[in-house]
Amino acid sequence: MLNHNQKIIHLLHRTTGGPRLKDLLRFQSQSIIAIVDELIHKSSTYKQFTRDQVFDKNLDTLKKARGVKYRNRVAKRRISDLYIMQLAKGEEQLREKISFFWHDHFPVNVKNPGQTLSYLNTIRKHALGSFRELLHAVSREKAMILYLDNNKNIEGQPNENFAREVMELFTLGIGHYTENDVLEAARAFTGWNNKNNGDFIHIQKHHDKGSKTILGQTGQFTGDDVLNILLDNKQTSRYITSKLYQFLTGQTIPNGIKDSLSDQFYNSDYDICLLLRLILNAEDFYAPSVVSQKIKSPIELITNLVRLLNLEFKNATYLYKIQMKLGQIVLYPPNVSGWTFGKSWIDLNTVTERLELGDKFLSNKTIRINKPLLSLEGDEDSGEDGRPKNGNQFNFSSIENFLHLDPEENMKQLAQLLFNRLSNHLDVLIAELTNRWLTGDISTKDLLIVLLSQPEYQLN
Amino acid sequence: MENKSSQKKLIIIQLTGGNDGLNTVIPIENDIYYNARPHLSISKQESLKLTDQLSFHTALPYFQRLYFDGTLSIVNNVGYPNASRSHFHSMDVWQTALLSAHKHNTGWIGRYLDENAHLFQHNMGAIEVGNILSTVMRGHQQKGVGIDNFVDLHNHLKGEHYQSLIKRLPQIKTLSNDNLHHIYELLVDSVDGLDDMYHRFTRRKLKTPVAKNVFSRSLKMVTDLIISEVETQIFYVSHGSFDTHVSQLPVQSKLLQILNKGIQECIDALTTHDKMKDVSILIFSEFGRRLQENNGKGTDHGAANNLYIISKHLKKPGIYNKLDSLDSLVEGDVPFEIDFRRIYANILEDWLNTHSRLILNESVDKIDIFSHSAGLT
Repeated sequence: MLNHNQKIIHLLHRTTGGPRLKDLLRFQSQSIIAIVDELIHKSSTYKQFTRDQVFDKNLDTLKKARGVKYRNRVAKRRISDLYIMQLAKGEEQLREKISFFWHDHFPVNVKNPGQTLSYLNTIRKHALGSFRELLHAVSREKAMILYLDNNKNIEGQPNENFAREVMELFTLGIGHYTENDVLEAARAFTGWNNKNNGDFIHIQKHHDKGSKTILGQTGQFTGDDVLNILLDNKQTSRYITSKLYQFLTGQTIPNGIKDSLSDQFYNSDYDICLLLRLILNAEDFYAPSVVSQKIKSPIELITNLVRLLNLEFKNATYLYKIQMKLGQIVLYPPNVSGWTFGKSWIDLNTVTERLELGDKFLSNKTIRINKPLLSLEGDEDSGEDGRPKNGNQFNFSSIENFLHLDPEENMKQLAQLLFNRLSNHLDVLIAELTNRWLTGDISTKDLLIVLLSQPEYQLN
Repeated sequence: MENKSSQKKLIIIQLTGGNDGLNTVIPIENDIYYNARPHLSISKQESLKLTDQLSFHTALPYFQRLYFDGTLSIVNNVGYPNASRSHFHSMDVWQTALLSAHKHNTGWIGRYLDENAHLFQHNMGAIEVGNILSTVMRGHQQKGVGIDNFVDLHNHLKGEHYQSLIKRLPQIKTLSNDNLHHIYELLVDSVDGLDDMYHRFTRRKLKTPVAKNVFSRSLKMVTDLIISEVETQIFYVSHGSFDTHVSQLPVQSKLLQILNKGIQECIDALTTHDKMKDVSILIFSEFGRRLQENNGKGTDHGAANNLYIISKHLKKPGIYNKLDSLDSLVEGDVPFEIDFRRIYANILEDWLNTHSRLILNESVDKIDIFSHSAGLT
């Protein structure tokens, strides 16, 4: 069975950018239910990203000198950075983490930074609200409509891309609808489009007003009607419940609880916080088969380190290049089915990068990309020797001070924070490092570099 | 020793950014070409003659030699329906070999590995030179390996930190943690595979001259590995960027020179070691460029393009098919005549001896640059 500290660390791994020493120390005296409450309460507010956080005079200059496409590439990378830093350090930690689940669930990858920003704000805004509202809102985003071609979906020439994915990937899951349902739903979404400024518009003259039959119901349905038909279908609740359970636990939902959880989610009209509480407060969330058994996604690995070390990056393409090497770039999902999580994150191409990421950050090492990549246009961060022009900034003084208070005992707590259930079999290493640190043989920075390069740190 | 069929090697060279095929293989008797390119056209006198109609860019003398030796095939007007002018999308189409590329994240080489994993005991069936793995190398279960410098990587993993981790494997196996096993086992297997590579390489004491640029360095590694008889069958190298919207002439010329020299060094070394009989080289770009030059002494994104195959087993060396006459362009671009997947099918079936249908997800009518079963000779 897990001790209380292990449970707290596990909970923080799965619901925030990663556990920090001060979070652990603060939560030690609270029950899991109280911590879940606090995480939810702290995420009850929402601050949208503004255009001012992305666009500035430098981008205007870039646009004049190199054109709008070039400017857009740089601007989108900035939004990607902004979001990662928010995932790692934002106040509303649970909101950001769950918004990332929705980003993978509704994966959109468009070049236009304004559309990207609007989409991102929408999933962040609704991340902990109602899935009903989220589905309606994200379906109207220009980024979504362009990504899945609904702007080309007009009466007489239906384009079924969005209609298919909304059933296959966003609500029911494959096998719970027919090809005819897709065709009919596509007709209902005809005319869904956006104005130049991104606002949603239903172009009536493009809309097929005829009767449609979808999942056994017949009527002169619009796109909104289709979304509501899908939401009224209990399979949508089962599908979303299973997927969120998988995201949080790294495991397939057991049949024994699937119906109970999805029924409660359905009966609450898709209250995401209710579902989160049901999963996070249940005992099986803290089972040994769940804790420290999941491979961190690249984004989790990055945000864990950023949060732990209080990192700031001073170079605009640094994070982008790291994500590229690790195989997951925020706001650039590979396709409409999102990322593939699990073992495939770690292969010979990524294993050394991942194990040495802490070292890269703390030692200010260059991120080298050695082939021609157009997406890296505007990368002006490397100095002449290939090192980042400006160093990364970090601060681990709280860890250092904590170790000084009671080196042997606190080193064990630090190891637990980093490796959780896996810290036991690293006992010998920890003891050796403690000695070397006490005798001044290694600095705190070098100590951290060794700890962070353990394969056990790759799991949460 | 390796399975016999894995002894046929394929080197794929991707000219990233869209190489201007019309200024690479130049239609020297075509007035439409000269009229459309007052600043950029290359004259008959300034180019390397192939036929009465076509010449190579002056930066490609070695390619001209290969042409006359009968080991180069130039396929014209290669593309696919509804050509995309976006680098990213078009490259995805070429790499996934699926026209609906946006819904897929497996590439044709990755799927080749899925079907032929049994050939590669060290899981090193395909190597992409570089440290970012492209879509082309990702299969459903298998994937290629991105290696920048296998000697460095080998030495790195032989270092103290990784060796101490590897020693932990027996202890890790006592834990009930599948994902942790995966990481440790991966390290152990990778070291095994790289050890094998490294020892085959060092045994041969190949002289490795310092290469001047990334491309020749990359190709040098590929050449060394082939000579060392490693299990790897497919190698992928990128070169560029050929996205010449401005000042095309000097930029393209420089890049083609590097290509010419790199290929020459590679083939010379392979020939010396009697390996060229087992190697074919495919050179492609995600699209060609517009016939009409732009106002910046450059060209914009086009559609169909030419593609080059180098091999000693060509059924039809030389000009495989006539270059488009340029008198009926589609939106200003060369229209496609040969679907690129037909070339992949030919390579897969006849050079790599595998069933292309499983890899290309449909039955594709292969062309016949390689004769039937060329890969078994």
